[in-house]
Amino acid sequence: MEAKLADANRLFQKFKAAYQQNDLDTCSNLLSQLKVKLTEFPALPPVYKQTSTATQELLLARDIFEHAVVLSVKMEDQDAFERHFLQVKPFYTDTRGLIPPSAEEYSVVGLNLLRLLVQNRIAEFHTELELLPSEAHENPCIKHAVELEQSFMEGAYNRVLSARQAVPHETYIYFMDLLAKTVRDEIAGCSEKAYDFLTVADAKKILMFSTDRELQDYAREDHPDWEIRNGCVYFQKKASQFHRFFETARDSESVVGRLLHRSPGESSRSNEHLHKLFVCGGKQFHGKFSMIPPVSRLCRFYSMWDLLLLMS
Amino acid sequence: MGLDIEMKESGTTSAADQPAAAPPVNHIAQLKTLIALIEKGVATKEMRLMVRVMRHTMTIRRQLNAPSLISFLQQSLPAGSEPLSRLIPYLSKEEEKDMDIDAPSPPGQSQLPAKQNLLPEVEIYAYLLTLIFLIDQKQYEAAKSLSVLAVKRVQNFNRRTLDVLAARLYFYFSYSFELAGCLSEIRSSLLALHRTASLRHDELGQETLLNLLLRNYLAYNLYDQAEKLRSKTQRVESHSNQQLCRYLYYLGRIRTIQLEYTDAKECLLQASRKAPSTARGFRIQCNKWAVIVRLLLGEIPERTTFMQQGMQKALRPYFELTNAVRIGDLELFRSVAENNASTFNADKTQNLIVRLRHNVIRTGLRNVSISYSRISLADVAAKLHLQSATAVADAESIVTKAIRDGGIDATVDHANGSMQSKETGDIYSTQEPQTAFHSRIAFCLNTYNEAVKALRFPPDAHKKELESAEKRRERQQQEQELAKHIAEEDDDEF
Repeated sequence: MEAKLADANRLFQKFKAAYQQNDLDTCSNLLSQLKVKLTEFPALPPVYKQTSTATQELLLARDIFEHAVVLSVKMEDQDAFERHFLQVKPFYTDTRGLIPPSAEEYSVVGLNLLRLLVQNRIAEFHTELELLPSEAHENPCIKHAVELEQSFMEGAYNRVLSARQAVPHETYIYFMDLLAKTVRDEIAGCSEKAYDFLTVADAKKILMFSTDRELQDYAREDHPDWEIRNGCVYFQKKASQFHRFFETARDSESVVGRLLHRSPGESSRSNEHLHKLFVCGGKQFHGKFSMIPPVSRLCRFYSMWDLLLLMS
Repeated sequence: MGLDIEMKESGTTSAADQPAAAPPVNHIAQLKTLIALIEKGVATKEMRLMVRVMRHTMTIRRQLNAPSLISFLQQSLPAGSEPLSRLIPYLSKEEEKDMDIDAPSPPGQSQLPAKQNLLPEVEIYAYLLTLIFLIDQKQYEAAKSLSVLAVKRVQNFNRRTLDVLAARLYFYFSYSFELAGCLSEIRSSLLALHRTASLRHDELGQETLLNLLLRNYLAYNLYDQAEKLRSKTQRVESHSNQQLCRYLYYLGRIRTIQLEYTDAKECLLQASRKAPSTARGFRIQCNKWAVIVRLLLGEIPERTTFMQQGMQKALRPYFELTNAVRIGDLELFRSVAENNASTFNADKTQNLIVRLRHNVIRTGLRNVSISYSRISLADVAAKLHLQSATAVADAESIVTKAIRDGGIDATVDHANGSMQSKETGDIYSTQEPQTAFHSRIAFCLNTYNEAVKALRFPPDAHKKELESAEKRRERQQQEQELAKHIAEEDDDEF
């Protein structure tokens, strides 16, 4: 076991050297080899076998996975980041009694929080947050992510953007840049509801574009209903309630259907009355709009509205 | 039915004996009637009798002491049997301390003949009684080791008549570890027990163990694991009101953390309503979470929520919090959150309080929007107590987001830096009444469908003869009695 450990250590030193020189291809190659080596250690999760070298094995594995997390950020690979983080997570939760806490722990956890924020997985963000003890909230890395989430929820977007200057760790910049894109989409969504129009100069400033060209491209691609004329951006307001309308129509229909169905014999006169209204009403409108199938439904709904009023 | 009435009588006599300062002999007599109940329950395969045994045990547990327990064990377990030799050491340790209280009854006084074989139910009951006694005496380490033994023993049997007692045993097993502060140690054994219970179709056991596991996970804030376990286990029909309440409470908490506030609110409110009135602590806890969830949803809980009997003091911090959110005052909110930080930390609601900040701003903004038809963004920032270098820009983006989310109905004039509220028009010209109408229809249809689904049609029911007036009176009387019974059982120890 000691020989294997020394072997893995040697490989890890090589990995670190490449890592220092930002030689990413060599790094990912060495990392795959290291991962194969790690499978041979029985002290790692989920087995946690108490071997004589358990502590060294755990420490080494944690160090490797921490580097792997940061490496995947450097390679801008979010899926790999998620995988590596999930691998390092048991070392933070389940091995607290076995090895001393890592110095990198909070910066890695903070990075993960930021990733969840960028991917808009807020529920998971909060689930992860609950796992942290209260003193962790004082840590700059965690605090950074928590404050970002708050500003994001409130809508204080310029606070989100200014946070890029105050990143606690250089690896955070990658996610902050991704976040800027999310923020721009959010701002655009809010602006089109809140403003009737904006001058192009203001729109550029609010949406953080440096040239008119970029703004025009953005408007064309992401928001085709915006209109740029006379040096202003006009936001069209569309109102579509049709979906709900149909839903109500369908439900009222089933109410009436049930009424017709449920009163056998008891009040045959009112029943007849209902039936006449229902069928006649339906037919009448059917005839008018028979060309457009969805609208025919809508019209039957109108006759039923009348019905319900009659009954009440 | 005849059996039932008889049982009730024996129950009432033992209850009547209780208030009188009962000598230990009396407990023994009571415990013996319980043993008789267990035996009858096993013979008739009546689960309800077992439930009743547990209920009576709860009423006498506080009066038990070591000597009387020892003599009870000696009388009900065969001499020299394995459980007896295991249980006595736990109690004799305790007995040494309070020897002077009472001398144990002379050994061998009325011991069962060794040849009579012992019912597993009685044996497990003896374990359970001893375990409860140890927990009451705060001997958590001893309770831990005994509960491990007992759970091992109960695993050897596969009898449905044992389910009620086994479920209780699992509960105390987990409880003793919780009191000793090492809940995480038994997680895997609980999972194994849950597996076994599922295989044996022990539904009460499954229900209890699932709740214990959820409790175990939530104690360490492992919401992710708890949700995974919950969503992947097969839910059995609920057998016990208490377990259902617990389940709903845990589910409500998980949903709150995962931002599914509407579902969470439903679960938490249901849990607090279903809980028996004696479970005050549980209901307080449910109410605390429900208050926060409702605040997060943008609702303001009624004042009566905080004024419920026996809860005023415990809910005080939450009352102040609600007040701050209602007014929309960020300063007040901050000071309340700071002053009560220790309470919120203990309740594990601190992170939720942080989430509330956003709602406070929203309420404040709504108040501003209602009061002013036009207001400059600088004034908005001042009214919301936004403190930063770029307060006006912050205010602008906050206002635009509030408009987008439908919190306020207004437009922003960027050139003049002001917010202009829209006139509230005639609501009947909008889609609003239709939406309300839609939700009511949906609710009625849902209720109707549920009712249809819940109907049961026993086969051949229509072929029976019509009952006479006398018979009907008799039946109604019996039903009333039954209802009384059920009501009594609902007040069971929580």
